[in-house]
Amino acid sequence: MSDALRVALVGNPNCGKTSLFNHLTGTRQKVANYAGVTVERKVGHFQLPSGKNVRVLDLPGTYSLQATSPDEAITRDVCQGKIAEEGQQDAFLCVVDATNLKLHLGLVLEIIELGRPILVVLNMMDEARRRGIQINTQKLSQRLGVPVVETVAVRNSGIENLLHALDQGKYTVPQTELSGLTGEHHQKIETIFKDVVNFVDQEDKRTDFLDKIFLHPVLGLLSLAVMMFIVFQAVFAWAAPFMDGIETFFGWLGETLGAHISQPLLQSLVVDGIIAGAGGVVVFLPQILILFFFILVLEESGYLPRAAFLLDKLMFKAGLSGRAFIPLLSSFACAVPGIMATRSISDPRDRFTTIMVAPLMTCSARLPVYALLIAAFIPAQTVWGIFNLQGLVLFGLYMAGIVSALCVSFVMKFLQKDKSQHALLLELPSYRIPDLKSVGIGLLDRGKIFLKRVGGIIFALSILLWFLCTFPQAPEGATQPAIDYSFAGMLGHLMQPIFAPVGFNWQICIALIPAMAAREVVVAALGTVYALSGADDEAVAQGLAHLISADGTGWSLATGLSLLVWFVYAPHCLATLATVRRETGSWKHVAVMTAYLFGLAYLMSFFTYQIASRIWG
Amino acid sequence: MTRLNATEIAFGNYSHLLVYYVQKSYGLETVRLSALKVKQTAKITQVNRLVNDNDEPDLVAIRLESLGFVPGAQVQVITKGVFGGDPILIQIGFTRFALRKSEADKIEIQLEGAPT
Repeated sequence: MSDALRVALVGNPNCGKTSLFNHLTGTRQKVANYAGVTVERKVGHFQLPSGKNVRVLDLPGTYSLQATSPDEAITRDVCQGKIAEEGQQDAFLCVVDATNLKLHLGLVLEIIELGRPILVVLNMMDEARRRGIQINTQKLSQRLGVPVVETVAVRNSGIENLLHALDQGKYTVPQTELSGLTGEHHQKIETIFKDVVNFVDQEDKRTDFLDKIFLHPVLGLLSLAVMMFIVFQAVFAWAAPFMDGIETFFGWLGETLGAHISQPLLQSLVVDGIIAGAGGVVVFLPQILILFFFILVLEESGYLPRAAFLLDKLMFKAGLSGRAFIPLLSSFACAVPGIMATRSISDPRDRFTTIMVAPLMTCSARLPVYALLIAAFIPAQTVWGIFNLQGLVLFGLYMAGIVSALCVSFVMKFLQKDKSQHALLLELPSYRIPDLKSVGIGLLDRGKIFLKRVGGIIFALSILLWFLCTFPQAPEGATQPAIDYSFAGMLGHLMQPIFAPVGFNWQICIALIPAMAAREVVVAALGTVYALSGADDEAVAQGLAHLISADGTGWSLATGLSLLVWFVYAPHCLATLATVRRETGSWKHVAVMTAYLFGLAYLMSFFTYQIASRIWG
Repeated sequence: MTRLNATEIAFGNYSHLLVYYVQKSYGLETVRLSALKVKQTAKITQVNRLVNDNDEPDLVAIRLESLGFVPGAQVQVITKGVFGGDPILIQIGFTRFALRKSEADKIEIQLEGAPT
């Protein structure tokens, strides 16, 4: 593909660049990171009508080449040909939103000054026509000194112009001496704008109307709450059948394959290690896809910045930014997509804080653990006439996570060395009808990233944990459960003195080790430690609930509460830690997060245990 | 582009309030964008760049300028945030931007219809 034409898409945020990229390349695209930074690098390929191949790079959106964030710096460097691996582009396709020409021309002028071959892509022409904005493309081309083509990126038919223009080599080094423009950029823009645009009304009636609702003090917050509720409902309720299906499938796969392997150790590796490990990753896929479906639709429609606008003040006070809202909301399903979603936060400090507190949001993997412990220790009684005590405790655990996250981000705000102003400068784009093709391709991307980046790591670590829990094997005639003789068992016994002040016995300590793979594993692990064998997870959980709360032989109430609190904080999720490594590019940040979460977990469990054991013995 | 006067040096960040009232009492209508009420329209007269100790450029002010917040541009407040009227939603040209009060404070405006 060395003879392929190399082009790069540049444009402001919200110019429809990504839609254009998706319609040009379809699924022939690859998402990776630029070397050394966590900026998404999107490369795709497509073919022109003449059969010529094109390699297209989708650069991060920016308002200006005067970069203020790492991703903007990448765009600047690629435009200036400073990134060796990208080399020089044959042409820059400057994507411009026809309904927002005044703003978007700024970047076009900056790129023209670089003197590289350019083709200006006047996108969203359908929207411009709908709003009665008439643009004289020929005049625009004359004024800018570069060719201009009109497109409608959300329709395949809308990009034919662009394909033909590329085929004819209609991209040229700017001929600015002809344009007769003087003064600063904004003066030039004013001149061009007056010359080429005939418009009736600056305001978009649709955006105006919807903003009156969505940004209204009462209606706005209400609609945000309703939307959040629907998203939550969907993530938990709609995903359940798929998750059950996946679990059943992996259970069946384990049994079927296991039956064909006679060597017990090999069978254990395949069934308990590999298949269970893979199943543990894939089971979260439905939730992640549903969540990202909503996020992508809200993003494409232009609603997301509105939510950030509504909540910015509250979150800013806590040391975050309004843009942190969606990542944190996602973290209620799973911190992994939440941390992946922090890429939309432009200020690196705000992004880092958001990543650090994301694991404190109660993710769905904590639910089985909470369910077990609440069923075992909290009586199902009614308080104040209407509330169920068990439900109240669950609500309290969710709130504990949220409040702790706010406190942690508040403290981080004070610890930050760089006290310079945090900027919001958030564009609220016009509302648009989401482009389904873009949403579909976006979903495919997210799913792939999750399986590839996170899956691989969880998978490897699950096998490692299997090894720790299996070797050395129990001697002949052993009286204790096999795990007790393994490395994990030894570690558990070693850890026990450290955890005595928080009220954990050695059984809990052992179960915490395999629970590093994922929180919900602790239920099965406790089952193993207590040598319970049930037909399925539910039976194990029921048996366990009786066993651990039994008078005399079970745990004390204080231990139960202490373990609940432990799971609010403790980072029992290697997937999250691996994602933090991926997204921040630094093991130091992973270490800081692990240390502070374990520290907080220990501290809070300690207080819980000490106080509870004094009250209830 | 930097314009610091004695009061700003003396009173630091809050000096604009003082400057505002002083200038107002002299009949000079220098108002900050942050003081604009909902639905009011104004023209930008200047964007102030803060100077810090390390002589670093004021990135926020530079970005505001590249977004079109330049002298002569017309702005309108569309709405304000629910909590404490912050951030402020500004319409400039065809675009709506949310600015925090601290960002809007950098922008000096002249109310539409006020004498020059």
